[in-house]
Amino acid sequence: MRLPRLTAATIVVLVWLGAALAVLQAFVTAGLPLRIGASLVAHVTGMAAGYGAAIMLILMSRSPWLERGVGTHRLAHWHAWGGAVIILLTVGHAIAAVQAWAGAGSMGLVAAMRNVLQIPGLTTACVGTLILLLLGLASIRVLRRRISYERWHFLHLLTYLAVAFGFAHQLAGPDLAGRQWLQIAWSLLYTFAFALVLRWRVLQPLFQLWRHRLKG
Amino acid sequence: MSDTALDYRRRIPRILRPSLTASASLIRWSLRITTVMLFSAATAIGVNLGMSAPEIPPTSVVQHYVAQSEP
Repeated sequence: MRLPRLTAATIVVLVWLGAALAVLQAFVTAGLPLRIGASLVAHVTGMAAGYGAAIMLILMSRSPWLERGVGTHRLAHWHAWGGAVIILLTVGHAIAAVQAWAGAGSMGLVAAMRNVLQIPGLTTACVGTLILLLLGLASIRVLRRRISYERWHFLHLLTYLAVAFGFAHQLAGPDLAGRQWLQIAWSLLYTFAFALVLRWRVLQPLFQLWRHRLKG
Repeated sequence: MSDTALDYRRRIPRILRPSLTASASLIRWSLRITTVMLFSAATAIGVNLGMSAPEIPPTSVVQHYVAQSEP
């Protein structure tokens, strides 16, 4: 029995539905009465960026059910603008979180940043953000032309590390901490995303190599 | 076909060749089993990570650290 073919429209609906749920969780954590400010922005951008990073991995995993249903060209197009949005969300999240902390503790931005860096998993998340930022800069058309393909590709490979670095912070973050079912669902989203990458980007080429060598 | 491949094939006794050509299904099955194992491992790791994830929100953790470090 074959699974029904996934169309681009179905994928778009599923991705946006997931994004809506992730953002909704940020609003739930922010609580009532809802105050629009740096804290809410930090929650919303953080959840959206974390969710988006996993989705980008899945979209670019070269899974045949995605490539056949959506098309490689369209997936690459989604990845190009989706990647830029995620980098902006990540940077926005970092700025808003420090700002919110400074506001809550009536302290300066530097002191707030020092405090925020003590949050579990935050140091690695910062390294991940820096990698994403570097990649974002390298992908700007003017700079992209000056960088060799190999370097640009190497930076792209580093994003797997950046996404993995951010994961610990997301799992321990205020939107997920203490909500075990959500933490399990979030972990599964990430482990499946990495499994898909491993299956179609690493194992598939290796098996093809094996197959063709045997055939001679 | 490359020279290496030709050499490789020459060194294989004729009687063994059919088993090599039939090995496409072996590769397919190996790939299927690897896929099942990979996703089973992903499920197990995911559930385990979620179960052992921190229960205390980071705000409380930092406030605890700050309170401890203050004289």
